[in-house]
Amino acid sequence: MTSLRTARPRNTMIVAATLLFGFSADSPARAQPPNARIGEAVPRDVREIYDKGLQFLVTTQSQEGGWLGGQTGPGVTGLGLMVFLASGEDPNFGKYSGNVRRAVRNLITEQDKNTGYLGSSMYHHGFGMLGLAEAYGAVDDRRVWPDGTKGRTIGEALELAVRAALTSQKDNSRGAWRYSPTDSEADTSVSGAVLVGLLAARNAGIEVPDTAIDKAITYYTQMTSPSGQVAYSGGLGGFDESLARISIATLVYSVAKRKDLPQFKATLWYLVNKIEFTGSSGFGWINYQRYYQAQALFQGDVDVWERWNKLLIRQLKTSQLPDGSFPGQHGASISTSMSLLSLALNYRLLPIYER
Amino acid sequence: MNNPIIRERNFSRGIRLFLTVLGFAFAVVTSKAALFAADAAPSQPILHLANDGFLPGQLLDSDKADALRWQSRLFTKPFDFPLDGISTAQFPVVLPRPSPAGEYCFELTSGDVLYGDILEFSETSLLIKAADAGSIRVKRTSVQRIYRWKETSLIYLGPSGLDGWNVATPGIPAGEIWSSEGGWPRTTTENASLFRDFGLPARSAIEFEISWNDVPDFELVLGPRNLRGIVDAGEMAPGKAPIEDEFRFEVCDRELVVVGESKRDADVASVTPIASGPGAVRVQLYLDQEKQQLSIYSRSGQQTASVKLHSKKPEVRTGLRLTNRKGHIRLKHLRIAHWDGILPQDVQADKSRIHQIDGTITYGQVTAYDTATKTFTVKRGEATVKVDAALVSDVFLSPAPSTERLNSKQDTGKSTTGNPTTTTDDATGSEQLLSITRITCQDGSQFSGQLTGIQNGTVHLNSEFIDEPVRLLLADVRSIARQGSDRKPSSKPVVSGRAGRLEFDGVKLPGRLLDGVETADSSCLVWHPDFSTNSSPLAKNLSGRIVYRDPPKPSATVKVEGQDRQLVIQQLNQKPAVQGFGDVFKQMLTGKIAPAKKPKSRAPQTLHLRSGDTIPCEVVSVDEEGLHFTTPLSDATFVANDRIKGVELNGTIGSPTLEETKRNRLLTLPRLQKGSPPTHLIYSENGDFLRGRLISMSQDMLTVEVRLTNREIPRARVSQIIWLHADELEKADASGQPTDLQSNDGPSVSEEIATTSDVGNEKENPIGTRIQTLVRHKDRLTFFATRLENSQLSGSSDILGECHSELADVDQLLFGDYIEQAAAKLAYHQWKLHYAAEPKFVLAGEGDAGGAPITGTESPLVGQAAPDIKLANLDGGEFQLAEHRGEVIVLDFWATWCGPCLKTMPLVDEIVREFPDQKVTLFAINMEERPAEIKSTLERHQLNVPVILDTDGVAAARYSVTSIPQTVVIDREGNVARLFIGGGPKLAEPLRQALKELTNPQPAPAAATTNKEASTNAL
Repeated sequence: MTSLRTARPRNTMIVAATLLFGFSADSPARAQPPNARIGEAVPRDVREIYDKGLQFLVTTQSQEGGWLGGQTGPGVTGLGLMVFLASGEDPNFGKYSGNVRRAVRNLITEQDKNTGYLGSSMYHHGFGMLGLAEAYGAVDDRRVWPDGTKGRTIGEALELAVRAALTSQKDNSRGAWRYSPTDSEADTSVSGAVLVGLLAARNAGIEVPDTAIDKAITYYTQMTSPSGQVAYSGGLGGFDESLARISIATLVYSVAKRKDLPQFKATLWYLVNKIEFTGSSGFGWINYQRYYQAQALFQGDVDVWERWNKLLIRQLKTSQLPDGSFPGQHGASISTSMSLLSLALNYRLLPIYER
Repeated sequence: MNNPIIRERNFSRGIRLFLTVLGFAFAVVTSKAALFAADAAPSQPILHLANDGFLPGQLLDSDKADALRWQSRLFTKPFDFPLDGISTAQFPVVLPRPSPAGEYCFELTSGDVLYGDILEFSETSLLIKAADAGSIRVKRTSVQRIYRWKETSLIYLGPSGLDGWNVATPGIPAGEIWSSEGGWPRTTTENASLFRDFGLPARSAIEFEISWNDVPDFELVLGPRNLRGIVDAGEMAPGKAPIEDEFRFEVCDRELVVVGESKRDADVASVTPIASGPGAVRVQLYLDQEKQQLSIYSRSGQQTASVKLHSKKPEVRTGLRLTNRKGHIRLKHLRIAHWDGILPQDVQADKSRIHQIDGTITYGQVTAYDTATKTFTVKRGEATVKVDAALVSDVFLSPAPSTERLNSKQDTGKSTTGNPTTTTDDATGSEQLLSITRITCQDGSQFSGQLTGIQNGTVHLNSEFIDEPVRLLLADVRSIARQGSDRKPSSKPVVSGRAGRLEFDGVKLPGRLLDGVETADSSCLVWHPDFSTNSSPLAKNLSGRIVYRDPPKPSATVKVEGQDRQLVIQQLNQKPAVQGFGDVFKQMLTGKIAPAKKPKSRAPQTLHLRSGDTIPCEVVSVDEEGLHFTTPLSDATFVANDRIKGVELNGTIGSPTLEETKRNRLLTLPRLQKGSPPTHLIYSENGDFLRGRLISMSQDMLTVEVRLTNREIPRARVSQIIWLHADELEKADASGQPTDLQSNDGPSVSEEIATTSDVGNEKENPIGTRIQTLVRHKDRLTFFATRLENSQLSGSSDILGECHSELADVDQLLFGDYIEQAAAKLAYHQWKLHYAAEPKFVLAGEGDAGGAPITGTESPLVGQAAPDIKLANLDGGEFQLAEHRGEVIVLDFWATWCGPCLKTMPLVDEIVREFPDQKVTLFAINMEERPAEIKSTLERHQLNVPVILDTDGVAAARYSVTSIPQTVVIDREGNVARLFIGGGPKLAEPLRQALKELTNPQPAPAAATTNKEASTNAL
């Protein structure tokens, strides 16, 4: 059934937010959290869960910079990279700087040097692009490549990735994206990954035409029902209670600065009224849902996010395994990264979290 | 096929309910109850005591002549039970039952039965080579009858288990009908029948024995017409059974009768009366199916009854069917042999004689047996006759006084030698020969006498009829029974102490607790069973209870166990006038909360633990760790949240009560909320409930997290708080049905299960037996007992510290996991969450994985005239179904919010388009949505189908739409031909087939006639 597809995207990845700490070419550091100061008011539980999860990612990162087991590829690497960037440690000199460099190198190495395509599906492309966008300006290109080797700079790679996304969109009948870059159909789950990546790149100073963003946003408005539910795939899909997709829509409207849209109000209203609802077996992957729910609520209504965040902490505390990982149907690496990023809003360090 | 998505939105009231109900899958998990009722044939040795106690275990060697030494795994030491206190010791039956050895069966006047060969035959004794007991010499005067059991004519001897029997009975699940009790088929199921095809010849000799626990009602048919032996429901109905030629035994008004019945005539004869209570009947008969005659003979060889029929075309039927019409029966013996058709001659029963296979009877004293030539010597007056053993069927050595004795209970007036024997059953025994032990072996032989001891696995018995002591291997023994066990044993307690009843799963043992101290290997609970000459500590880590006083029968009207029954009734009768939460919430909304009223005088407060303990206390506060309190019982002040079930802040209110459906709703956890179930129920003084998470409670205020927002509630308004634990939720099954806790009143954890939890218990508490005392049937106190001294149990509780309990006050003493099992039945413990039902489409995953093919013919509407509907078209104008007579119409009920509908509609449209020019038309009936909404959806999904508007839901009601998509196919005559619920790829083929049929220019005959037929023909 259509309504279930989102629950199990074949190549699942997710979107992620961007990090901050970011500098972009023409804008200085942003990410002033609206009503919290960095380093303060982060509950102890958050710190403990996050650090424990970081240790898991540190110990499981491959020499090449990616993560193996379960889902692998640029999307997983991009999300892992963001977890390190969001930790608050200096990305160039801090204790995770090695991990950051390896992940960045991995993304650039994996990228198709001609098309700019990152990975085996547009999910990977979206999350990989997001990872690059969050690293752009924060990570010193000079330190990325070991002596004697030379790869693309983060900026180059990001521009290339943006171009790939735009090319794919151009031929898409819905003005959005689906698994394959050449698909003419679209779905709101893959499209979320790519669109957030594009928005992050634009926020980082890469040129992304407004028309591209507008087209994608229009696609989302078409897929949003007056009740706030968001359909999965054009042509066949109906609406259902997937909180992940409703969160994706809320997030893309927010980051695209389109909170004026009635669809934004509808999706946010839906989320706000369901904050106790942690998801149901039919609507899949809880880590994916939380990853977007966190950002959507944070962008949509900080007060509601704060209430929801209590529940999140409670749940992550009980579901974290002794090795720091979080279980999930697509493997521990991506589940752990998404769980930690849903928590990372408490630090508010990634640029994509900027309101 | 896609399962329909169900949403409530936009539906008119009536339909909404249906939709909601139908859309969810109530996965009813039928957990099968125990397949068999406790089987009287044990799977392990079991000792039954004269006081109805029973204890599984092992019989140990003992040189005591008058006692059995019995070791149970539940006790650290064996008990010596004097024979006087014992009813029977039963051992597992060996299956298939071993065949008796030797050629002859010897029936003694004592009722003993031996199998073996004759080694020597003299004036005074017989030397018998018996299988179980070796060579034994029997007094000749003790032998009543000898018969060759192993004739070549034997067809069947048994029964030995259920193998080979057909136990199928319509309407009753197999496996619940008959059980094998030591090889004897046994049932308590009404109308359970048992059939077997023995290949009965035209003439057969049959002997059977059936026993029962109380007046039976059964039917035994010889040669039933239906070979499979299955009785269908119609046949079971009295008066409805077709008359067939048959002979049968049946119970009729406390009498066993034999009936012959054919279409032409009937004959009936009495066999024996049946007395109340346990009993048995043994019948020996000769059946000639060709001559249609059945004759019954007594064991001593006299004809006692006979019935005859005169059917023109007699049939030979080869099976036998036993039906239990009511009550309980077991088939204990069945012997079928070929018969030559010559009835035994009438005999002089009191004379010594030999019966030959051909019916000849030779009267006279049997004086010898020649083992070499295998001949009997019979002295008749001065003459001596030799009889070839091969021709012998029975040898009667002396008059048969035992028959009269056995029958004396039933037959008061007339001479009884002739009747088939009805006897009381073994276990209860008839009054004879007190202090005699009867041993039954696996092969059916029986020995009675004085038990002199058990050594090296051998039972020693002195029989007054057998010259040497009898020695039987314990492994060959099926039961050891004290004869005459209705005799009251001397039941004076050997020890003092309060009499109680120890109960485990499969154990009941009346007795007394003696003083004891916990050690590394044994519990401080030391049990002295009644009759036993000694006591033993219980083993560690068991689960069970000791009952000193049985609880009163619960009231029929208020189902609350133990606590607060009176209070509940009081509450039901009173209208409380205290302010509840309603106002609090209003005030929350307005931002003004009235200051809490000062609590009046402090009402009694009670803490209810998950273990069932009730602790009277003053509740000081609650925080995220637990509850702080003071209690007169001890110095304890804290209990952790995971131990608490509830707290009564105002003990005058009583347990919360709520009407069933409301309660169910309150305790249902929405499926989207599974990840964060509420942890508390707050109950106000006027009966309001609030579900949430209690963050803290002070003397004045509660902080409750509701929908992730903290709310303050004045404590004075709160009567009770119930803790909802996540693990309680897991105990309910996935369908949302709570597990049944009412089914069993006694301990239900077997010894095995109890021992699996050993580790945990031991880790926590190396010392002490975890017990719970139940006082006044409501106050429970759980602690680790370390000693019992002077009728006082002492130990400590991890919550309350040191504990003491006077045994004299205790109604029940529970121990081990049984504490939790018992607690689970308490009123407070019924408040636990259950999962909401999952919708079908979620349960089914993608929806098209597996599942039965859809036929579209299940709906009662199929075959009926299609209800007419008259609705507006989306594009203007009106649609009336009746105007489309002569067309095949497909109605597709849908809504824009229904994903599966939008997925299904193009599919249906495509299939309809496969029938161009055949007048097949699709109409998509939208359910109660606005045209603008519909148009934008159609546009987005690029759908182009005629849509009609069911603005008020009338069409949906007429077509019983309970979930969508629903697709209805209407034939050219205006009748409903198919009704499909759900969509997706699975729908395609059945729909296409249906349309093919309805448009076929040369329709199948059925399709041309009525639609009902067409529809049933369809797939």
